[in-house]
Amino acid sequence: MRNFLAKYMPPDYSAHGPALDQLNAVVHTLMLILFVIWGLLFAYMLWRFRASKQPKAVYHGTHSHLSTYAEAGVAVVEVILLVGFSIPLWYRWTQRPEPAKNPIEVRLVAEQFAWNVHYPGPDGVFGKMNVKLVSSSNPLGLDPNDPTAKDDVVTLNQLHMQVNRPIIVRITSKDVIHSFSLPYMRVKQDALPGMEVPVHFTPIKTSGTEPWEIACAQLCGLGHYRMRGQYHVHTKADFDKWYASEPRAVANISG
Amino acid sequence: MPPKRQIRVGTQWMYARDAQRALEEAIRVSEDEQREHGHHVPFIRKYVFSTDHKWIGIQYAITALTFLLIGFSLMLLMRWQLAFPGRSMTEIPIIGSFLVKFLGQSNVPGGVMLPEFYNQLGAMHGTIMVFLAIVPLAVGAFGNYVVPLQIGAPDMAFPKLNMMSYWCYLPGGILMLSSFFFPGGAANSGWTSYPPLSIIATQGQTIWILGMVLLITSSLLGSVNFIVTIFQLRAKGLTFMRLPFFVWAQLVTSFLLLLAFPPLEAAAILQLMDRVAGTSFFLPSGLVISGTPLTNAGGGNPLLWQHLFWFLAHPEVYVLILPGMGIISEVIANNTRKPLWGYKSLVGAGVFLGFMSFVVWAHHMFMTGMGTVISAFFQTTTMIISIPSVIILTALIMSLWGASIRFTVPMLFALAFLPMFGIGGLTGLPLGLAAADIHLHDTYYVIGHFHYVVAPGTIFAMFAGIYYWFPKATGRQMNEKLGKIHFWLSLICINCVFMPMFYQGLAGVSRRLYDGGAQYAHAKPVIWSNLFISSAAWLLLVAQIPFIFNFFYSIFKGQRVGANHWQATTLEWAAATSPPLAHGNFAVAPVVYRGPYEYSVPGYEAADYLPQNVPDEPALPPATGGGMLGAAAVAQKES
Amino acid sequence: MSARKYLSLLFAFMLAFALACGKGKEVVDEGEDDGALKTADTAATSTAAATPAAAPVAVADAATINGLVKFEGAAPNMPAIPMGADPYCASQHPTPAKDEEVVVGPGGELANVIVWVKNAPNGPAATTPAVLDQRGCQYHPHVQAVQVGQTLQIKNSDNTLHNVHAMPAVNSQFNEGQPVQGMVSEKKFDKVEGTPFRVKCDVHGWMKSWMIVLPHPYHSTSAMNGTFSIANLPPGNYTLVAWHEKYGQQEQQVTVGAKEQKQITFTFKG
Repeated sequence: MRNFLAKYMPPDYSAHGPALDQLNAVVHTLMLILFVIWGLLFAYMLWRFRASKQPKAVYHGTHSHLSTYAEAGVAVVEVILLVGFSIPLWYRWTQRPEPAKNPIEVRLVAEQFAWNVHYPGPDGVFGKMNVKLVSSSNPLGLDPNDPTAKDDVVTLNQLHMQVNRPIIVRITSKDVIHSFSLPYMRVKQDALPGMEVPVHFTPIKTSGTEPWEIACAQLCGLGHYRMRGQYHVHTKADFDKWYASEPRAVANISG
Repeated sequence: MPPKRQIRVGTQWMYARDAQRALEEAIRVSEDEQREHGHHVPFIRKYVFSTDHKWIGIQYAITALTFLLIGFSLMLLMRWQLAFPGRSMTEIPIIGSFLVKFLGQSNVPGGVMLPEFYNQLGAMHGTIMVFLAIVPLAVGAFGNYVVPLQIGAPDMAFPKLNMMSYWCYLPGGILMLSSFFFPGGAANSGWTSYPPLSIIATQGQTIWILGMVLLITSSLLGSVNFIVTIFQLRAKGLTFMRLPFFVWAQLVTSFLLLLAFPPLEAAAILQLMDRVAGTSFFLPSGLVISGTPLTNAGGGNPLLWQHLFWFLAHPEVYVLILPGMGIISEVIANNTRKPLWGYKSLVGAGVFLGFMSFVVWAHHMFMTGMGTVISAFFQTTTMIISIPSVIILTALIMSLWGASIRFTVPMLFALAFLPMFGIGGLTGLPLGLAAADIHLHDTYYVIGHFHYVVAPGTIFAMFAGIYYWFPKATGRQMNEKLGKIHFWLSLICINCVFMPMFYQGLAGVSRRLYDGGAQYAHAKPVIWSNLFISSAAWLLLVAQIPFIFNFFYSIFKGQRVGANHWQATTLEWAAATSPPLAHGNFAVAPVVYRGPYEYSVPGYEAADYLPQNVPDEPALPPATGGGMLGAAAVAQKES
Repeated sequence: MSARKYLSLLFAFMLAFALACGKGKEVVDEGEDDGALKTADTAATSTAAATPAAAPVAVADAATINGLVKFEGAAPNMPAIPMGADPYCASQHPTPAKDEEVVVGPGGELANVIVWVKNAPNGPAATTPAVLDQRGCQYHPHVQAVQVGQTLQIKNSDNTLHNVHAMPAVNSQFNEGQPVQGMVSEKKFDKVEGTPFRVKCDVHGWMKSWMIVLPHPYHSTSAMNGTFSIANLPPGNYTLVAWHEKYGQQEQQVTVGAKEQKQITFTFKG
């Protein structure tokens, strides 16, 4: 089932992804088994108990307890799915990576209809922001006078990360609800204005020359369908090179 | 003790033949009365502001079916854009140029559908289908028409409330549709209307909210009425465990509507305030809309709306499905000619489903940043609620064991409901497990899932109900041949529409995309299926032509049939065909002696069905014609 | 599926739809007058039809104001627009486009300044449409004045989605998508705007244009060399206003006589 589903699913390039796919494979196997059993029984009964073959119905039908066992079986499997798979997986999904693994931390601020990516720069501290400073050249309202903001990097629709290094993406929105979706990473998280929700994952493959896609998964207005960002998974050297060479955000602020 | 071969009519004991004569006389007198005094009930009171549950049911049915077609048409337009993104609609043969003119330059300039118009179509398709088509059809139409008849009541408990319910629904629906004419068009923030998008949206959203307030009011009036009617007006002897499952389903549904809608009504009014009065219940601080800070924002939370909305909208899912299950149960019992298997577990599961539906709502919100505890809670309740669904489905399938299945048109739809609902239910499992949902959330998988539940699920149940009760309402049967064409074409097309959506969803294609995902590389392998789905959807419309034709044709020209055409046991079949309006339903108040599905009763050889209202004592002779139970079926015989 | 098969399928659908349409009628919106979008073809024909035969109401002794907008101080260095957000846009600019907020000409002239007469008579109605073109993910022109009732043609010359989000203070706002290259939508403003308002594209956050709605045709926009010209002005005493999106507004009193060619200079300080 795993391989069968994989044919229909996009490639999976994150550390946590295979476990999620595994769960999907297990669930779909259960669904298929149930559907086939039900379906066969159903088809058999339609044929066996058609009026022309069985002119007189049997009042009591069946006394079999098979269905009770089947229902209990479904319940047991569901418990296994919950306790054995989904809840632990969700627990792991919500656990922040250890600082020892040196995760990249970025803020991702969605807006109609683009993704602003905010890197803290070498100092590791995000600069102060103020709504009043928001302009087209300063989409996040970064305060140019704040020393911690001097080295911040802000990109539009371009998310850069490093292979095999965890990344924490703190997701929020400036206006309406968006949803940050990386199909190849098995990552999805709503971008909610007024809240900053971290999501973390580890890419395990470099993206090469063709960047991968950030999709918006929550209706956000007329441009929802093309609110497409890109992300690049670099080797360590490439990432460091990019990070060092990218112009600092404050340099771009006009006025 | 009265002698054998006598039966009780009201308080009197009489011979069967006399009873039959008396009944015929009663019907004649009643008809004469109606003819003579017909002018006392003016047309407007009888057919427009009617207080008769049957006519209100028919009003609901006609209105809701019209909305069903409108909602369907909106989707067909969207499917053009999805099949051929950005291509001009003038390319549609024959009707293309007409269609473009019809939709207007502000929506389809040069024939190209605008994204904002696409979003309007999407939002209105959802809203119309859920709130204006299916719920009014399932509850307003079938509930109104059938429930009082099935419980042997002369009418609903509050006839005027019933009329008000319809007259809140129709203006609500018209208001909703009229929003297409407002500047900026109809609501375009999805049927879920998530703020802040819905708060900064065009005026159509305000109209949407006002329309919703009317519709909610209509549903609340209706649900109170159903609850009181079912509790108070059951015929003598009709205990709760003798109620047809359809009545049970309507009872649970009414409680869901009554308890779940008020939070949405409150939420809708809060949203209205945010839009028109400058409040910020759903607007957090620091919002910057299109580069401009939104001054009135602050202190609100967009998640509040989602909780309030889904607190209604999840029970609403069961409002959509339970009446369908009720109809299916009636049709299956009747066409298997045997009692439903596990009636008690069906009732128990139905009630349990109702309770549980109030504690699963947040599984629609797994991607909002939930912690482990809350997600574990909602995953667990979601898995629990699947159990009663499994029980109901299993009971209905097991009911076929030992049956003598008559493949009538309503039965075909009812049988198809089972695997279709099965697919809908099963595909809910990966969505209900938060970890599996990460990949599938907000993709076409979700659309496939809930459409399997509602379209080939509930809507097929509605069709089954229409074909099944049509003879009761009109005295004529719908054409079986056309019905079978309708069934097979619909079944094939609807699967071709929704099955590929699972495939698109697994590929990760987001829903509500104006171009169906053409922008995205991960959608490339599956993008071809959009054309396939669209074609199937358009063919599905063709498949409805036999039904539409059959419906109107049969009203006037259908084959005349007896009052108990399907040889059924429940009380509605004991009433006269097309029971007279405004004169109560039964010539004589029926008395109930047994459970609802006494088919093929062992030791009873007269017929393979024993209606609920036939007394136990006398061994009754089979009637002379058509296997009718002669005088026993007291109020049935047509003159 | 072969094309033939597909067409026959479509044909079946059309037939059905014709039947169904009678029912779906109330859903749809007949084209409204205000804000109606026109197709490229119809727009073109209407433009042709509207081309004036002669200059309207040419006042015999009308004056002309010719002017220059100068910039003093060091021209600010405009940042390059990061168009990488939309690969299509980036592909339209081999050398990165610069932000157009402040455009200073080679001789120290300031472009993109709207100049208009404050207290002019209403004058003749505009006969040619104003155009706002979206090309290379930038607005052309960057700033402009339009007259009340004048047709504004908004054109998408790009093969990407643009949405035109106009935020006037007095007239009603509009926000429309143009998903397809070559789309033209026509708009009219029926009320006067006291100050310029923004027109922006939400898909491409850097795209900005400014517009003012005036009751009369006596307005101009400074070109790259800072020049502007207001013709056909009846003689009289006027207040001339010059507005720049960054450097604000300036006013000058002018008196023009019959057939006078007046020279005016505005100076903005950086």
